[in-house]
Amino acid sequence: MKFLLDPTNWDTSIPNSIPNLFLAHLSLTLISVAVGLLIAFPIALLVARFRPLYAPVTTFASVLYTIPSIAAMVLLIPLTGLEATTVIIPLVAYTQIVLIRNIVAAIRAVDPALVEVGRAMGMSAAQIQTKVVLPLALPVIIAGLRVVVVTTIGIASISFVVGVPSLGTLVFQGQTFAYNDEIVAGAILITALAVGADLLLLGVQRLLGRGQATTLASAG
Amino acid sequence: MFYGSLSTALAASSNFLGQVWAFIQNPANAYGEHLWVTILLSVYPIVLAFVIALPLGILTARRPIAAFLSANLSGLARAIPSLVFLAIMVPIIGIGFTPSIIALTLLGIPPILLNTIAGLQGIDPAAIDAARGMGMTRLQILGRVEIPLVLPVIAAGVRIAAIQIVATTPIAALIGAGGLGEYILAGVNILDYAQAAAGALGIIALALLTEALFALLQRVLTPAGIRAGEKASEKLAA
Repeated sequence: MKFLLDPTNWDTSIPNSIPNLFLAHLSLTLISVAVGLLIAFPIALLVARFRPLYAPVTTFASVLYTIPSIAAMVLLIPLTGLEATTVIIPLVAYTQIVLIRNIVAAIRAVDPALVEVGRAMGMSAAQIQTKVVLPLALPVIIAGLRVVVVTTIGIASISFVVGVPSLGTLVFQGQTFAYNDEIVAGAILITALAVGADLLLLGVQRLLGRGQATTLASAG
Repeated sequence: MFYGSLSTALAASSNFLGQVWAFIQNPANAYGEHLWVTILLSVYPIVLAFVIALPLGILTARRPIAAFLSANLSGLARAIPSLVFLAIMVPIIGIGFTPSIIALTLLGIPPILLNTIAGLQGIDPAAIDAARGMGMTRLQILGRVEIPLVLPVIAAGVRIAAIQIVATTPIAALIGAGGLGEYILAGVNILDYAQAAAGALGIIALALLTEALFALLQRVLTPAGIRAGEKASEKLAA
């Protein structure tokens, strides 16, 4: 605990202090998940519409997911150098399988009767997508996002191998100097970040799903 | 102009691949031995995790503790990155090959345990009733209904565990496990990217091979009836 409580480790002017590493870890995660969503969403919409695409797309994404993170990052060094990009590219690749599968499942799970109701009310195709399908699918999509965020936070802690700072740097430094306090501090902070992000998204998921349970219950 | 830079890039990358290949072939680097250590680092933990998690799952599936395990273990296993897990284990088990085996085994237990519990709990009681109605003995029900229904789910768990273990072997090099991960760490340290890539490509090959092998195993263990049913429901959905 000594390491966590030492004020010098919280000095933001030191590059590898706790707040700076925390922010670095957070930005690696946020950028990767955001880019991952931007790529996965259109793919999932396409796959949900053209079903024969589902098998090849998910097979490809799961092969990507099989490639060990440390190996993928190391192979990227000659192309992208010892930069954050080297960490972000594999992280984005890993988000795809869970995001695509989950978004497709969420869209397919929307009750066709409700889409029919929308059509009967005179909604356009775009209105049905944005006002019926998306709001109903969103809580399920957020549930998948939780898995992706927690996994990404975990894998991002490997970034020190390619010289990119993150909270994993604490674990690695502690390991190198046989300083257990620093390892434990890193472990606590990474786990806290993962659990915190998970709870935050759980809150969002509940908030978005609030109206739904009652509508569905009264409809059923 | 464009083709000029393209051919330079191609020449550079083929040159790089040449360096990687030269590194792998150089007997002084003992690539084969490192590969073998990595294979052992994967096989022992997969087998051990299976031998430990399967009975544990069978014993707990019908008890209240199963619900507790299912609810908490999976979340915990996901929230703690394997790097952190290995680092925390060092003060307890030390560093080297055997401690790495222990750590990797512990890493592989949750998916197998959880899938065993899920598989056993997921057996439709109606299927057992039907078997009993057909006059099967208790042993026949176990052998012909319960085990065939559970095996694919357990195989899926073993597949997840195996992939995770293989993917973590290079990280275990940090705690002195040896194997291909040493090339990765050393290569990045001394900026010898051909060496790092040689380790990385070996690990990727092992991971893909493991995935293919266990995907096949899972397929073989899935009874033809269930496979046909899945196909039919897929068609229905489409």
